This record gives sequence, C-alpha cells and structure tokens, in this order.
Amino acid sequence: MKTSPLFLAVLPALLLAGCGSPPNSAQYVDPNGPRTIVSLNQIDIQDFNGAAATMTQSLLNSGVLEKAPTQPAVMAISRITNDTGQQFDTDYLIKNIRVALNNSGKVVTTTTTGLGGKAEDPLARDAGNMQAFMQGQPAPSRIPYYSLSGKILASTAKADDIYQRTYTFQLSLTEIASGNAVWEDQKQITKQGKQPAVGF
Amino acid sequence: MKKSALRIFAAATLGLALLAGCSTVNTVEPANPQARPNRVDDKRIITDSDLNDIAYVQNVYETTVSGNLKRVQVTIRNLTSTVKNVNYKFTWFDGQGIVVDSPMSLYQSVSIEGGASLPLTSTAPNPKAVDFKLELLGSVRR
Repeated sequence: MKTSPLFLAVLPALLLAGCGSPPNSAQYVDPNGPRTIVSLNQIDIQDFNGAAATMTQSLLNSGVLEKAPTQPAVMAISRITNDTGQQFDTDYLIKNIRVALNNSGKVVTTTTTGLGGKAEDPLARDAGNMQAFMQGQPAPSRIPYYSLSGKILASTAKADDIYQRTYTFQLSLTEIASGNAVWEDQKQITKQGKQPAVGF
Repeated sequence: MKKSALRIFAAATLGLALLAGCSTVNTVEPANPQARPNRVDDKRIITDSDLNDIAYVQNVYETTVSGNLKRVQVTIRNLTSTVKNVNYKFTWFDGQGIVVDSPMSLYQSVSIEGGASLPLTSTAPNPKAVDFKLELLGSVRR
C-alpha cells in the first residue's frame, strides 16, 4: 500500500493535536492537573497546592494530632511570613491545609481566635460573647490546643542562561500549653529553565 | 576511511548520549532487610507502554497512620538510562466506591534518574477512604 506524502506531512500535526497541543484561545484547565503554566519567577498555583498536600500528609503521618486530649484538636493559625519578594496571600497555602485537616476529622481550626487578638470571623466571636452574656455565663474560653506558624522563602541561582528558583515552605505546629513545636516540616520546590512552560 | 567515519559516528553518538543525560543510578541496600511491609495485590491498566518503562511499578505497600488513616506507598522504577519526569496523582475512594474529594488529590511531578526507584506515598484524606488509585502520566510539557 502506497502512503501519500500529504498524509505523512499532516500526520505529525494530527498526533500533536491528539495529545493536547497548547490552545491559541483561552480554555479552562484543571488547577490540580498537569497542564497548568509553570513559571520561573513566581510560585504557581500548583506549587501552593503541592506544598500544602505534602505538608498536610506529613502532619497526618506524624501522629501528633492523636495526642491532643480532645478530638478533634483545635488549631489556630499564627503568623505565616512571606519572605519571597513576591506578593501573594498565604491563604493559597494555608487554606488547603485547613480544608484537608478539617476533612480528616483530626483538627478543626478556630475562626474566633487569631494573631494579635483579631478574629477571622468577628461576627462569630461577638455572637458567642453575646450568647454567653444573655445566659449569664462568662465569655467562652477559646484557647486552641495547637498553633500553626510558618515561613515561605525563595532563592535564585543562574548558570549560563538557565535560571533556577527554589521556594521553601516551612511550617511548625506548636502545642500551646508547652510552647514546644511538636511537628515541623519543610517542602522545597525547585524550578529550572530559560522560560515559562505550559504543562509539567 | 570507512573506519574513521565509524569512529567519528561512535564518538558523536557517545557525546550526544552524555549531553542527553545518559547516566544511571547504582544502589546498595541490606541483603536481608528487616522491614516486613504489608504488600498489596494490585491491578494495572497500561495504556502507555513507553511510560511503563519510565515508571514501572515495582511494589505497592500499605500501612495505617494516625490511628485510622490508610497510607500507601507505590515504588516506581525508571528502567531507561536517562533522567525522566513523571506526573502522578492519588485518588481515594470510600467503602461505596465513591471518590473522596480532597485538596491532597492532585497531580504532582517528580524527576527520576535512569535506573533509580522512587517511592510515591499518599495518606487517605479521612478514615472513610479505603481504596486508592494511582494515575501515572508522562511529561505533558509543551
């Protein structure tokens, strides 16, 4: 059977199209999938999601959450420092961790106790205080058992025309009663290349 | 004349191979390991045989952490002689076979050297998650 030269010329294009070539016009991609954009000079959404997943699993695997006297343990979110030079909300990391821990049934996060006395949900705190007052009781005690703090760092290297950027996600879980860090971990993500790419 | 051309070809091929990162990993481990892992029988669906060379599944182990959460470890081996990128994702299912949504279920990328093996681990998102599925995917970079 004779193969047409035209067919041979078109075949690579057909194969590429079948394997999902990048779009010319905008389309939706799964933020948890492998076809997101990989940047060199910033933390991408998949980096936050991956770091959060890895560190949540590390915390669950450690077994420290089982040691809290009441289950699920109550955790407060303390300072999460962004030392990367890139502007972003650290909730891109922390919210994923909170959701996963909440789903695990091991931890609940307080929204009425926060850094510097600020409540994430002031309405809930005020309503709780009001309810206690109306019932003639003292304001409810909101001392969490654990506190989560951390830092995000960045470092850059360059050789010839290849850039490398490493982001370090550090987290500590402190047992408030003792003041000791009962779990600590860090996750590093290193990206290397000349330019951003679609997919990984 | 022919011999020298062959030598040039061989040298060029070797040079290209080195440039491409053709190096494999040597390993040492105990001949009689003390670990007694709980091995899981697995069912595999191979749709990409090339990927099966890059990420050949050696074994699947299972344990329990944090009192009641399942944890699995799937060890993959790169059977080729070059470093490769592999994407993977664990999905967990409850006792009724329904997927358990979790922020921990997402594609992650790992780099695996030629000949090296790499354990991929996942912890169940909650005690109801009893079964898992691991998806392996080659690089989709454009």
